[in-house]
Amino acid sequence: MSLTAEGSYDRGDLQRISYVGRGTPVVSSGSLVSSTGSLVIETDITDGYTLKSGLTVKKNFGPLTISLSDIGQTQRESNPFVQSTGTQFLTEGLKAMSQASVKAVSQSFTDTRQINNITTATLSLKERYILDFLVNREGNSRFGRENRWNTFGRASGAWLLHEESWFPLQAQLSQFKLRYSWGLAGFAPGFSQQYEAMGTDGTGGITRNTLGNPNISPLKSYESELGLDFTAFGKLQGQFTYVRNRTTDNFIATPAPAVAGYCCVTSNPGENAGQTLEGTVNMQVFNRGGFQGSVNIIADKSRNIITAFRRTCFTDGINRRCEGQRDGEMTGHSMVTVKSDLRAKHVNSGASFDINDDGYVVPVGVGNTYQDGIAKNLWGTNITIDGTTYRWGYPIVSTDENGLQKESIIGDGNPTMHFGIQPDFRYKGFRMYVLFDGKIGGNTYNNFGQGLYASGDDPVVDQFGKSDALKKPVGYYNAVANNNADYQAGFVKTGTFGRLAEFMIGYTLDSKKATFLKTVGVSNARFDLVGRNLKVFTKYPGLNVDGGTPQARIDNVLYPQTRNWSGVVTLTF
Amino acid sequence: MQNSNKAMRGPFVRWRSIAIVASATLALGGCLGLQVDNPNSLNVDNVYTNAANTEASLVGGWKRLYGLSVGSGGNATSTNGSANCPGAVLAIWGNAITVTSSTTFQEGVQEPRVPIDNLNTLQCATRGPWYDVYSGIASGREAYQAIVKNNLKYGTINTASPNGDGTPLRLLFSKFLIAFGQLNVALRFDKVFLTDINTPFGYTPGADSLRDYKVGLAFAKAQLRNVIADARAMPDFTLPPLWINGNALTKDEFIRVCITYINRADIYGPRTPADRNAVDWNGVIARLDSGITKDFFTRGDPLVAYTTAPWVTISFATGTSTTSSGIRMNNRLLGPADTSGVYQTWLVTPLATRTQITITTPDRRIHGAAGNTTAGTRFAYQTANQGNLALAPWSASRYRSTRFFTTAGDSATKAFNALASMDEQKYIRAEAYYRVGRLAEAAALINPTRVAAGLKPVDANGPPAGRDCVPRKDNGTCGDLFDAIQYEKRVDLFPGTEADLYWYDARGWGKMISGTPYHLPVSGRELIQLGIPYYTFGGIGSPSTAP
Repeated sequence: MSLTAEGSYDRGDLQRISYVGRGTPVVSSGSLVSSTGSLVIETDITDGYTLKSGLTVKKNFGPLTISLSDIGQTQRESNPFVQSTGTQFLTEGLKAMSQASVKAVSQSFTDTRQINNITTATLSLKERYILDFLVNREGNSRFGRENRWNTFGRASGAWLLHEESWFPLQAQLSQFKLRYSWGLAGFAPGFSQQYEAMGTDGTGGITRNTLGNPNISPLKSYESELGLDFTAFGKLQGQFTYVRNRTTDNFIATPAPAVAGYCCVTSNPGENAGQTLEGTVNMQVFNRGGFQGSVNIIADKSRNIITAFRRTCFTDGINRRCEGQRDGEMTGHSMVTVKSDLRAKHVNSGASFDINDDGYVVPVGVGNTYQDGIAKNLWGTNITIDGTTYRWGYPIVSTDENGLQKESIIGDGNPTMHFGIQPDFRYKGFRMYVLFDGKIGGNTYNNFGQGLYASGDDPVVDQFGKSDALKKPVGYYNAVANNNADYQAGFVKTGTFGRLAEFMIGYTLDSKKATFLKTVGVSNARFDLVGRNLKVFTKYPGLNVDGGTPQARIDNVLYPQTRNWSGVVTLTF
Repeated sequence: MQNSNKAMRGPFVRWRSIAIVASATLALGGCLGLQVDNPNSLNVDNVYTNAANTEASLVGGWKRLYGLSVGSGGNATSTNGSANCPGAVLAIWGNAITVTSSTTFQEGVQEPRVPIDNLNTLQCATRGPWYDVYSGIASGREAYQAIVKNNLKYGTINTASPNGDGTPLRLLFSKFLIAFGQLNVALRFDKVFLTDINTPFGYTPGADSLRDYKVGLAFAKAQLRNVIADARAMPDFTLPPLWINGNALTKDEFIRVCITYINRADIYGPRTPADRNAVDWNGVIARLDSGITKDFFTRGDPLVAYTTAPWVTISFATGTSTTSSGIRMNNRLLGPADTSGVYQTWLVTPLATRTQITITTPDRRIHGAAGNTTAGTRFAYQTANQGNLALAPWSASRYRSTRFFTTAGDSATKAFNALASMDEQKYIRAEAYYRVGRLAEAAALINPTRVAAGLKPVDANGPPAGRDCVPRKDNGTCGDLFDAIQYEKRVDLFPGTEADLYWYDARGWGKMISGTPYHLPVSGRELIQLGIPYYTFGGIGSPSTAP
């Protein structure tokens, strides 16, 4: 039996100062302008403590070992935040708020309190059958007052088959373990979501904003995991895991009933479901004469889908939030690429359109082709077809019969597979390690490229070397990008890539061999040269094929990812 | 010996430390309450337990209702697709204005008419008018309940007025907000929720709680009558000028406003010409005599949030920003003034080839005597094309309103933005006289503005026939007296007070384009949220649309 107690106190004091002096050249709306100056000072304090005490009892009953523990835990964290902002500086060079002619202050304070009672039980029979249980009863100030206390837990079991006398492959498999676990975890809602929020217009009026939800409960994440671990021939180790997860009570801002008078309320109507398959294999390739080589291979595939949304759907950037929608799918607009997608009123006017060398359907007029722009001086003119006026030769936004842009799924950021390959070689004091990773399948949205198209800065805008028949004006490319006003199917690109993500070569010098190290008290010295992001192999045309997040695979970077080399010397005394 | 003591004390000290920390953990854990307040924003507790804050809620409620009432939704941008929603769409459906460039209003301008999208993000016509009106109602309701429940007191407290002599006025204004909002939503939507001072906080209505608009209109009128009765029972009062900005209504003026809005319920509530014809027009005339005697307004002031009126602002194209886009006059507003026949040609031109027209008229409000592209006193012909003609060429127009272009109202600031004007009452009276057969009196009411505009006076038979007959019917023949009343109300009032009025009149006069909704469906997200089967209106042959 053991009794433990812990107490910890955490405090973080963060002061962030951002200053742009008056007169500093800055880029604004694509132009270089002289800043009028700004100063932002933030004070962000985190003040928290955790107190924990527990009792653990462990007892053997013959081949059965039972371990029971109960832990009580109390946590509190408060976070006062103040931000002062000054703009429109009156003078140059003095970083003082007093010099700003426009000042604003904002503040917030959050206080989160949590009490847990965590009970665990572990049973091990002959160290062959292992069961593990955990129950967490949690009270949390962020849970709505009507759902203040919740229970979470976990149960898992493992069966070490290789320990069984009847196991037929004991010679080949030194480890063969089946494992299964089921868990329920909870995640607290945001601080403000249980409270009504009203606002003032600053001139005598108070209006209502969000309706607080005293019933808001934690997001619940259920996960069941089935796995197999093995070691074969003493050289090959592997882990295969299949995970099914389901989240319920997802936080979604839903409209409050109009009669309530508030715009919205955050509640728990959403559900997600998904599955992940992952595998890891580590293989010792050779071990001879002091020369060791191994390789680690990792691969995984995940899919998540919104199974219940229970509110009206909406488009949030490139993502559509709606029941049945898969995480990572891209929603947006497109240009017409086949004549059958033109509006129905053009059904008999196919001869007035042509498909250009970029694959877009463009209006050209009867008797013309897309190559006649310069020859017939048609660029820059308008053409009216069935009552609709178009710019000659420009791509056409795909619309419905009402003239409204069609929204559809234009891509999917989910790859077929992520992978990683990590060879590792050692010879005496030398060590070399490589990480080659990447993904196969899926898309990346080239948002940076769309911006260049819209601004006319993309290399493709340069028409040098093209025949007159294929030359296009700058405005054409702006039209292809729809003036960068939305997400366009034309900028959804392949997300497949392979990357030499990391390379390391090093040497460890031991004082037994280099006795001079002893004279300075060093037992060994290690020299490493590490390179990161060394090479990306892809057909993706933008700057960062792996940009964005799994939910929104958007390449927004303004500069290429840097290649990085580091030299490291580690001395052990 | 000392070492032995140390050895014995070691475990003891360790266990004692553990026990102390464990005890402290349990003690602090037991003491730690999980109820935490939110100090970051105003909330029900710190607003409705305070008299001044509760009054501010009343003011905020009025501003929200006002914004929607003038068709701007300008103070409710969080739920609207645009600050000009729903006014612009309703005025388009009322054939008063047109747009070709803004996708926000494309749904409204589309021909043939299309179903209203009351489901997705851009719900210009339906979201703000539904949610924000009820938000304004809730301000009144919650303030009323807070005053009663928390015994909030205003004004002088003495033995004669133990609850404060200013408290009844706050309660009265609370009821007025609820009634005003209920009327607003019943005029626009096919169904309404009924709510009053007894509706509980955070009330979630059942799927069967929606009532027909006729029930809503009757409910609102009853509430307005109740407000009038309460006001009459009170000693004389004057509303604080901050409540309805710049408009310190006296008791008599306040009662007259309520009567005027009861009249509006009767006149503008009908969805069809038959229903409008069936209105008790003698009752309307009687209430006009008891109604407002001066414009009921809010003063627009950029220093007072949400008091300016985007509807007035957008109704004329100001500055350079709208020379190539923005709002223009609907050809159906000015077309009846045309004497050259281009309007009639335009009407029969297929949509695909229909575009803007230049009319010729003796109405000097539309163009000057020097030619049909010179500026009139109220409207001006634009030489530049409007917006993106590719989006809606059939709706193109080159006319814009200049009525407030160079006045204090040109930016809707420091202007008296009328909600119900005396001019509007005049035209309501003219229609009422016409409906009850007092034709000469009706003609006399509209002649002053006609004659001032260069048009010939009308008599019981309407405008004199001949080359200068204005207005004309769609087939080009000379209009009658009712045509003249309608024309004069539409042209003389523009941009008028509320954008909705053009829609209300168009549905009651049977002048809407086929397939145009004559009332709005409930916001789709409300339907889905409450488990009510989704529906919408709009499109030729669809329910609740013009034939």
